[in-house]
Amino acid sequence: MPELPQAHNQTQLRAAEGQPAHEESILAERHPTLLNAYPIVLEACRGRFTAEQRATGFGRRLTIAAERAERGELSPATQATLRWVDVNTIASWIMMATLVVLVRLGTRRMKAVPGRFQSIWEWTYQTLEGFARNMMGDELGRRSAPLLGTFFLYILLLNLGGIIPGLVSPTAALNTTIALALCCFLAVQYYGFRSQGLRYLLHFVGEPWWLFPINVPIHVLGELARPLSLSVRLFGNIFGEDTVIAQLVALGVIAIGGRGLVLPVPVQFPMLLFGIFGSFVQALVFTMLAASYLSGAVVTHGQEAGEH
Amino acid sequence: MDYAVALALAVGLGVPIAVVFASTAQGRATVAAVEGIARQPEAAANIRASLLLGLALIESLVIYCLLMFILLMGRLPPILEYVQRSGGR
Repeated sequence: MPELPQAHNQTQLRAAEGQPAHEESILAERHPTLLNAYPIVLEACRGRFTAEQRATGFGRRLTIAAERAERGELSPATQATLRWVDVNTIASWIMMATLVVLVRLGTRRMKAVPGRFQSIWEWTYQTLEGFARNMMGDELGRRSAPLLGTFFLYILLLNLGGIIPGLVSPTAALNTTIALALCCFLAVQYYGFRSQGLRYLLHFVGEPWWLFPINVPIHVLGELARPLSLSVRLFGNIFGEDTVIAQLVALGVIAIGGRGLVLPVPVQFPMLLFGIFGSFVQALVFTMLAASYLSGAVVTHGQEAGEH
Repeated sequence: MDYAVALALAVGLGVPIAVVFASTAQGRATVAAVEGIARQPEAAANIRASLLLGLALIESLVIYCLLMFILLMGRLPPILEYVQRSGGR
């Protein structure tokens, strides 16, 4: 294997020069996926073209844009857009659109005797509501089932995105998971204030009230640690899983490839199955923790003594 | 010990140490839950829910270590630069 160490050296040399290789082509190296079509389409829509090129139609412009993107010559407008919105956001938009379309398909013409799609969604809703009721009691469960169900379905779809070829998991980036955890955090505060009013603040003071100089900082810190742990847990799990899949894909190519012959072996397949399982579990864990935080914020004072 | 050597050791050993203890803890939690289910199969749903919650909380500590691993790994000097600077030793 004469090529392998050499390629290794080149990578190290490039790293030693301190030359970030992916700053020139914004997406091409980091995400060799179907989503690379995005800058090309963007360039085709907004790039600089001569009047003649613009007159020859979108297909011709697309070809020119693909050539330009390959050379890394994107127009300033496209680059600004790419800096503003990255691949993860696009992937999560795709997932949102999928979810909306599927829900619309199921609930468009609802009948008393449900069709195929409608019964799938009815079963999903029943399951999610049953889960929420189980965790938080009947009344609160029914009220917060939409929020928790949205958390579950959305996170599940985002997690599964990494398994679909051509997409990335948006939850493998910290910005998505932090946004989700902040939603949960704000919902907890909102439900707490709504159910107990200003008495909600009393739970920061704690049980013997004269210990409040110690209790208040501890409780505030604990409250702030929740979104941190929620977001980092989701991010770490999905990022780790996707990284393992990517490494295994690379391994499968290297094991056989060489001298121009590239025969990829799907060694990542078991990890893909585990990825499906892990996506489900992580979505469930996020929903479960959100449910327990919510029910902790909404407890009435009579139950609170037994809760802590 | 050189700074880079210490950093490399910390990067390499941090996650494994966390994994050893976390896997022990997860194993104990699972054993307890399975025993509980075997004794009282009717409480299986509740036990499973709290087991999942506990496993997630244990696991998140390892994930924090993984995060630190990722953060620290970016600080390691490139191998070639390090070898050249230390005179090929």
